[in-house]
Amino acid sequence: MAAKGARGLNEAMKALSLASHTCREATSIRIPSATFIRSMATEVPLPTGATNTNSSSPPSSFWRPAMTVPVTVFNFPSYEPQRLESWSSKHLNLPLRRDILHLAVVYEGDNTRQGTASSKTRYEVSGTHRKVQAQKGLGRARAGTRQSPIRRGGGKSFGPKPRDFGTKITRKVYDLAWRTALSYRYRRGELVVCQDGMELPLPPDFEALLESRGMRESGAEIAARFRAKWVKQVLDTNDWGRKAGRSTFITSSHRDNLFECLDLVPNWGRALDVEDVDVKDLLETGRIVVERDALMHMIESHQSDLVPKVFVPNAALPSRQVSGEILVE
Amino acid sequence: MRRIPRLRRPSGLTSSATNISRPIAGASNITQAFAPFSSSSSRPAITPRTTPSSSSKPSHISRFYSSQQNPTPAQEQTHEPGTALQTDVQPTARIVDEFGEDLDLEGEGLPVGPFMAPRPRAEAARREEVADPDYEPATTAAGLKKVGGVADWWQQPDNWAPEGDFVSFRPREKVVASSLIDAAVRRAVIETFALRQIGREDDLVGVWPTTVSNADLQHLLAWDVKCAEDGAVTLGGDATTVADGLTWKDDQDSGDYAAVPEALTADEAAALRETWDQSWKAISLSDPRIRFAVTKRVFQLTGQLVPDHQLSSITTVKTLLHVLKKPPKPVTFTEEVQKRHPELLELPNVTFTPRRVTRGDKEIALGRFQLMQDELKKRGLPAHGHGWASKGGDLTRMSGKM
Repeated sequence: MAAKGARGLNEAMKALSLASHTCREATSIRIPSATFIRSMATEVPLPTGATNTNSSSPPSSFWRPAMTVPVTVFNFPSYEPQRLESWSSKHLNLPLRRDILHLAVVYEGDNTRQGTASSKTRYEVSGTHRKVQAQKGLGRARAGTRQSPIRRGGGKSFGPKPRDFGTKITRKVYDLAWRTALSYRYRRGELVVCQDGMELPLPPDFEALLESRGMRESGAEIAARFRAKWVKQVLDTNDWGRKAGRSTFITSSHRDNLFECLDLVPNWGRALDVEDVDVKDLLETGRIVVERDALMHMIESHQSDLVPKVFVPNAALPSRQVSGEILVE
Repeated sequence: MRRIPRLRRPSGLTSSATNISRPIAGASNITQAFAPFSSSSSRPAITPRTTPSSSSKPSHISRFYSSQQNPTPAQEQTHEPGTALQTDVQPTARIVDEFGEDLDLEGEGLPVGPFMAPRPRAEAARREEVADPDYEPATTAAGLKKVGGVADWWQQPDNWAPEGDFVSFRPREKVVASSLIDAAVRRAVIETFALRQIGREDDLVGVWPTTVSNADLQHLLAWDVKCAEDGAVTLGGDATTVADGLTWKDDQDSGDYAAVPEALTADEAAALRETWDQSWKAISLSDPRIRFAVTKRVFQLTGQLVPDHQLSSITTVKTLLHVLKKPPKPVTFTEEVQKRHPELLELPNVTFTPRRVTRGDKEIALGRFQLMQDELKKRGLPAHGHGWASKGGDLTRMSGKM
């Protein structure tokens, strides 16, 4: 429109304006920024202005989701509830997002691929490049070199070469997938949090038993069988064993007894150091038995979408979600 | 097959200094060597473990000597300790003597707590030590009996006594009967509020003993527990006695969570339930400390654990009972239909099979399968499955590997 020739600057500006009203009019009907809250689909809807549980906002008629969820901390391996803690809903009570879990599992699978498959092309197959037979007069098909892909022993036309199958994922999405997986387990009652220092104690008589001559002569086999029976008994008694769909035990560091014993009975469960855990591991087996320290580590290292990168000068504002407050002990 | 290397003749057969180190003991030493241990054994289950070994020794030893001179069981019985042949007595005494020494010195062969270690290895006497001139040692394992092995050592009840089993906070069997769950919750509520009335707040989160007699328990459950309009709870009994019962006595081991299982039967609990005032279900559990104590005690008594995400919804006894009594989700769809929707099975136009209907099932339904079976039999073909043909047989053949 401006190309048709503007008579004056004012008219040209008016023609460029997209709205049917002037800027001054538009200001009056603009959405007030105080009430406009941008939210993600995955986010638990927050009550406006209230970010802590003890908000003394006026009573409202609509239901509000809890900001924290209770978590029982058990003793291991006696399974005795010892403490009740409150954890943030954004850590352990996120809604299930199968799509995000799928993204994370595929990402992990891609990056786990070794990608070392390799075959030789015709230029890498060894041998002479002399012409196999004369071009004409033999009644046979033309043949150049032995390495030709159509000949036996020849190179591979489009064979595999070592490559990186790794893909990328947005870090915030991956972190959300971690907490979504934990939340899914939590809501299904399949997240058993145990106190720090999770280790499988062997019976007190076991050491004395190992010292006896008969055990020494029988070799390590009988001691391993003892450990296997013991760990099976522990898991079956707590309903964590094979009949209950196996269990994954996650600790913050390697625990000799627990790891060695569970290696003996792979059908009853598996033990993982927290550094070796992936989202896929959290979704496998019947339940996750995790040390409190390890759970805290997993959550703290996967909350990039919750912790802002900018510095918040006002200390009164909660800058991060708090988990692990003791309710009952 | 562990025995074979032991049976093989040692290569350095010449030295005999280590073999015979003490004079030959008579058969009477057998009983002397084992008598103190069999009598001092406190548990009767362990006693037979040591005693028969002395009587069964001669047969074992004779097997070590020669494969050609296996004595029959009748011969073994006739070999009285006093009148035994010299060839039998000599090695028996020697090995038993070694055992005796070990037992004396280190206590070998004795149970360690509830567990029993395997007996130390015993060596057969060498050829030079046997006085019998006809003795011919076995050179191969053929014809020898297989003895020993520790593959299923810990599966034998004698070697792993029940006292050695792992004891969890949770009972071994989960209680699912509705009346027993009611009784356990009522018991937990009474005990928790009794402790609070006494003022023992710290004990609310501890572990309480479960030892109570059936009569005491029934008396406790029959208390007239009431909840007033304002939420005040009246127990209808003496809180002090209940609180006393929740203290660990000296003779009770605090590590043993469930010393005596609850002896209440479902029928008794159901009869008791009829006498209860309904207002007890309105008792508030909104105090997190009370709720924690009650759910923990219920878990200890019944094995029913309230999932964490449902804890916040439990505000009264009624909601707790609702959560605990909710039946578990059926594992399979078949199970769900059979248990929860049995009326669907009665429909005239619906057929229900617990597994997939295959081609064979259809043939059986038509009555054609018997004819097929006969024809298959005539041709020597298997009636079920593929017989010798492996699963990927065709694939292997087509790819030229076969």
